[in-house]
This record gives sequence, structure tokens and C-alpha cells, in this order.
Amino acid sequence: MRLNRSIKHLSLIIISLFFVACSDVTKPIDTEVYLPIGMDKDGCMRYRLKPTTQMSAQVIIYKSINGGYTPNKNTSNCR
Amino acid sequence: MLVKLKIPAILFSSALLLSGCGGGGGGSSANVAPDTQESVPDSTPVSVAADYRTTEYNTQYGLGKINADDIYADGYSGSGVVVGVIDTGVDIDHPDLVGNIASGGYDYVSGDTDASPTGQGAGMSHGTHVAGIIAGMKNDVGMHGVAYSAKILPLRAGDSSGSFASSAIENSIDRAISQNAKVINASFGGSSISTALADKWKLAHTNDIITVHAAGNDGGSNPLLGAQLPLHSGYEDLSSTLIAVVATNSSNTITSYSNRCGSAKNWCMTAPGDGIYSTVAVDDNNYASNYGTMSGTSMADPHVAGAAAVLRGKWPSKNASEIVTILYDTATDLGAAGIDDIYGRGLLNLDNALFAQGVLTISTASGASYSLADSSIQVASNMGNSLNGLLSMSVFDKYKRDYSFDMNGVIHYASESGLVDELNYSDTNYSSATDDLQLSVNLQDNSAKMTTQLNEVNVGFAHNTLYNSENISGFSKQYSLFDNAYLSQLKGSSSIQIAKDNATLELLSGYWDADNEQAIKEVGVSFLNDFNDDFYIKARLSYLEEDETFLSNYFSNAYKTGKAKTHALSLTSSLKPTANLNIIAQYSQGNTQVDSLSDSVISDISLLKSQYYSATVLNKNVYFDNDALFFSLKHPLQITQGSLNLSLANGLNADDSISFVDRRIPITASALSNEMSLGYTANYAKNSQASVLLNRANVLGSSIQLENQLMLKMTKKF
Repeated sequence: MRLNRSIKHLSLIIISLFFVACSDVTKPIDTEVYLPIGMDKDGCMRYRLKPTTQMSAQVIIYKSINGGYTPNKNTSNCR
Repeated sequence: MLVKLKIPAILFSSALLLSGCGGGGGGSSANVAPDTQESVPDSTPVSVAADYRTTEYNTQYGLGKINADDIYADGYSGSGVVVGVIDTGVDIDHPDLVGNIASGGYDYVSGDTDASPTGQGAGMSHGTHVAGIIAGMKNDVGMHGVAYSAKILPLRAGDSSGSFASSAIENSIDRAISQNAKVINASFGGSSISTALADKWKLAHTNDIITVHAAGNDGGSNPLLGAQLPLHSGYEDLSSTLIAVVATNSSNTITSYSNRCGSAKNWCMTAPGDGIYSTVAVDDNNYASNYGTMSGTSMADPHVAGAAAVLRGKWPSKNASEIVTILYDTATDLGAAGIDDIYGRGLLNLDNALFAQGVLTISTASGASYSLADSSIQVASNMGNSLNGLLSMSVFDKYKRDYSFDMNGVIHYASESGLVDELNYSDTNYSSATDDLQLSVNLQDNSAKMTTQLNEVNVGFAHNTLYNSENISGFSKQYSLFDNAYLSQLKGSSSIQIAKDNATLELLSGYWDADNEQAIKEVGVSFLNDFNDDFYIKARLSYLEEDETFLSNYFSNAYKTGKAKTHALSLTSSLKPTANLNIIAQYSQGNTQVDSLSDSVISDISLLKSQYYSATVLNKNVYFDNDALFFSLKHPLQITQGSLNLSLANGLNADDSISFVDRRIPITASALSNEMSLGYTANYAKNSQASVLLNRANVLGSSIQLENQLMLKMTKKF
């Protein structure tokens, strides 16, 4: 019994770890993810688009003043 | 279904993790930690490169970085080429794009024929920006594209956020093929690629399309998977038409965010991608105007796509692989010497791509090929300047690209002995004579003549001189009393002569050039009729055979001619009204048949007719003993009838074979004028001689000038 309980616990832990580790893929398929890739010379954080399952435009993106994302640095929140 | 391709493990770490987590289907991972790190010209060439460095040109600094202006000045900017832009849609009504949008675009996101972007998002203007870099119009507004005369085929496969569905890309590739796109721009990518999509890229390759792929903005050491397809079994051939593009900044340095060429370095190059100014969708809220800047390998990519379009427009017969090779070979090397892991083949350089590479060659209709530098035409005066200004032809570089070449550059005109040579001349004749032997040697021109009598036959030997010439004292053989017009330009010769009574047989072997390579042989028979001691007429029949020349005109290598056979008749009359006066008149006429060679640009030479005439009056002992005054009127040997037929390369056909046109060129030296000489020489003291010469002579060049020349010369021998 103890062994069975331990196996159950262990399974739960493994499954929990699995979901934690893979939490991002639980998002809807086309969810946009913007990954920070470092500051530019003006101190503006640059992002790139990283859709979960699809390919993405290879353009540098900034956080915009209104909280969204924009490829236009002039309307980014660091200007 | 997404599948993983076999690539080095390090590249696939993210995909493998996804396999463990995602329960299939997933091909990309969100768990990857961000890396911190013509042919007809498009327009009439009217000016020089500087004229194309307009405000539009300078506003998009990338154009200057890739040296685009030279090819514009040459008249090419992508006309006739369709570039498929698989992207987030293109604002087809943008004032700087509207004229360069091809019909047949499609929106595979919304499923309709309007490929304009919809929805506000960070990727809304991505496709419009890319399209502007490729083919923004040159209209003095905003900026213009690399290939500003090319057409954009808008294929919407990405939404306004910048996400691309594989199936939409696949459909877009199919449509690009069906719409005859020559280049596809792919400013997108991911860390996995489906077999179905990989096969579509392969289909584009087999349809002779250049595909240009952004390397990606991960700052990694290798490009995204789409750009690495040639690494995989079954896709190796794509390396000849697939280009991976990394991004450099305005200092030609790789940007921190750009992936490096890495394992794709052999099919990778770099272009400006940082802060690129281009068109944006008119109703994009991210921008206050119709233009704006973006950065990324997405922006570097269309520079290369545009350049490929320009080259495909200029050399439409070249296939995708050949154009890509040219782009690689002519790139500016950056970073470590040669192909390196960061910049791959180097920075796109359209200027280099335009100009001929390697050894330029001349092609003949028979398929022979000759170095342009090793082929030339040396024209003797008998052809005058008849070839001048008549011909241009195509020559080819190492990629078999055609370039127009003005043949005047290969024509060299024979330099006649001018008065400088005459000034340097002095009589150094040594002669002796006995009853049986006459010998004369001239150390000045290394000539010698000897005759002896065997029974009743005169036998002679001559070296570097002609039997029937007779110099006027104090002047070179250029001013001899008798001339053999068909042999007057010999640089070296040996001959024997057998004479009996008034008949003479002469055999001569000589060369037109100092290197003894342009050989000529002559057999001459002459008959002299003495009317009395003071008057005779001599008729001479000659047969001349030249191996590589005709009438001393030398056409080498690509222009080479075969054996030339000349039959000539010369009449000479000599009258001596007084003991000191001699009047000589000569007339020569000949027909020359030249063999044509199948592996020569000169495909045929018609029968050539030529003639020469002269008259000389010589008066000796006029003022002093042994002085001489002479006047001569001469019409140089002139081709009076005949023509060359040339089969000249004239560009490339659609199948990349060389097109030829035939041109028949008359080579009659109609511009030659009569030449006159008035000379006087006197031995005014022992070993002292004074000479005066007035000349009116043809000077050959691209035009024939009749030049007056004066020489005064005093010599004293010690």
C-alpha cells in the first residue's frame, strides 16, 4: 500500500513537473510570445516575435507606449 | 504534420525538448531561453552612377551600402522580374508601391485575392516594408527599392502579429511558381520546418527560383532552419539557389541580434538590416506616415532579393544558380578572410556583381572561344581606316555574361617609317665589284645583296632587301627608285634570283614582323624590254602566299584568317632623257584570295583587289657632283575592292546560347591620298652630307591625316 501510495505521489510529482516545465505550450496555438533579446545602444529593450507553433517575421520589436508591441522604435516606450 | 529534419544536435535542442513536452504536433518551442546576445536596359543609360545617388537613394542607406548606383547607371533595375513576397501582406495602394505590384497576388490568411495587410499589430507593415526595400518605386518620393523596376507579387501568409502558418507559406510558394516569380523573399523563419514546406522550397528550386531567407534574430551562431535546408539529406541541391541572409548595420558590422551564417556559411551572405527606412502600410497605427524604419534580418533579406531581381533582369538567360553564384563571388569579404562563420560569403555588392569577372572572351559562331586580350587586328595602310567605328560585339566574362565591346579597341594601325627613322638613317653602304661578282652591304638596315655570273646566268642572293630596289643616295629604301608595293613592309627576308637575258626568276621568303611569325613567300617572274639604252619597260608577275596575314594585315586569334594568295602584275618603266635625269613610273595591281577559318570571327573575306602607282623624277649632279634632287608622287598600295564578313556575338538568347549577327564590312582604303616627296641631298664636303626632305604623307589612325613633314639633316662621318 505504502509502495502504491509512493508511486501515486511520484507520478503526481512527475506530471506536475511536466506541466510546469511545459507550461508555455499549453497556450493557444497561435499565441504570440515576445522574447527579449537585449538592449540596443540607446538602452531600449528589443524583442523578437516567437509564436508557439508557427514561423514568425524576423523583425526587431519594441514595447510601445501603450503597452503593446511595435517595430517602430520612435513609438516605443523608451523614446 | 510537423517533422524534424536531421540536423546537428545542437541546432535541434529546442525541437527535441518540444517532442518531450508537447504531445506531438509541435515544431517550435516557447521554452527556449532568449539568447542575450536585361537583354534590354530598363531605361536608356544616360548618365553616371552619381546621378542615381538621389535623395530617395540616400534616404535608404542600404542602397549605398550595397553599391546599387552603378547598375542603375547601366540601365538595369529589375524590369521584367517578378519577386514573390511571402509576408504579412503588402499595402498594394501605397503611393510608393502601387506601380510595382504584379497581378495574381493572394491572401492565404483571409482566403481572398486582396493581399493587403489587415489588423493592427506589430507585424502589420512587415510585408509592406519588405516590399518597399525590394521594389519601392523611384519617383522622387520617400525612398526607392533595390529593384525599383521589378514587380512585387504579394502573397499574404502571415497575420498582423507576424505569425506565419506553414500551409499558407506552402500555398504562397505554389502561387509564386505559377505566377512566374523569379525570386521569393522569405523574411520569416522558425526553429522547425515541416517536410511539406521543405518540399515546397525544393519545388521552387526545381522551378529555377531564387529563394532568399532571413537568418533570424536570435543572435545565434546558425541561421533558422529554413535557411539551413541544404544541410539535410534530399535537399542538398538547394544550396545553389537558396540564400541565407544575416544583417549588418551601417558600419558593415554584424548586428548583435542577427544569427550568424554558421553551418550555412556557403550559401549565406550579409546585407544592411539595421534601421532600414522603407514603406509602411498607410493605415498602420504604429507609424505616423507612410514610411518608417525597421530592423532585423527581415530587412537584410529583401536587399538580397532585390539584388537578385536586378541581376535576373539584366541577364534573363541566366538561371537561378548562376545568378546566386555571381552574388556570392562578387560580395565584399567581411570578417575573417574568405567564407567565414559570421558573414558567410560577405556583404552584398551590386557594383561588383555588375562588372565583368575573370578573363573576357570572344566567342565564334563555331563555338570556339578566345581571350579578348590575346586577340587583335593590325591594320596596314592598304586597308586604311575602313574598320574604324564600325563594329561592336558581345564579349563574355567567366559567368558567360555578355558585355558590349567596341572593336576599335583591338585595332592597331601599322606605324609607317616616319621621318624620325629617316633622320636616323645614314648611308653605310659598302660595295665591291669585279667582273664576276658584285657585293653590297648596308650595315644600317642589315641588308646585303650579292650577284655573280655563272656562264650566262646571273645568280643573286639578297638579304633584307629587294633586287629591284635602288636607293637614292642619302635616303633610306623608303625612297627607293623602284618599289615592290606588295613587299614594301617586309621586316626581314631572304631571296635568290636567277636572271638570263631579260628574264628574271625570283624566290623570296620573308616576314612582316620582327618576330618572324607572320610569314610570306613570293615567286616573281619579270620580263624586261629594252627599247633602247635610255628606255625600258619591265613587267613582273608575282605570286605571294601569306600564312596568317593578307597583304600584311594581321588578324590574330579570334579574328584569325587563313592562307592568303595574291596574284599581282607590276609594270615599271624607266626613261633617261639625259645622263643625269631619270623618270620612273610604276603601276601594280593584284587580286588576293583569303581562306576563311571556321573558328574565327571573320567568317568570310571576299576577293580583294588592290593597286599601287607612283612616279619619280630624279636629277643628279644638279649643283654639285653627286648631289641628287628628286620628286615623287605615290599612291600607296590600297585595297580598292573587297569586304570582310564577320559573325559577331550579339548578346544571349533566352536559352543562354550566344546570338550571332553577320556584318559585312567593306575594307577599301578609300581615304588614302596621294603622297608626295621632294628631296635633295648633297655631299658638300668630304664625308659630309646635307639632306632636305619635304613630305606629304598619310598618317594612319582612327582617321587618316594627310601630314606635311619637313626634315633637314646634316651628317659628318669621322
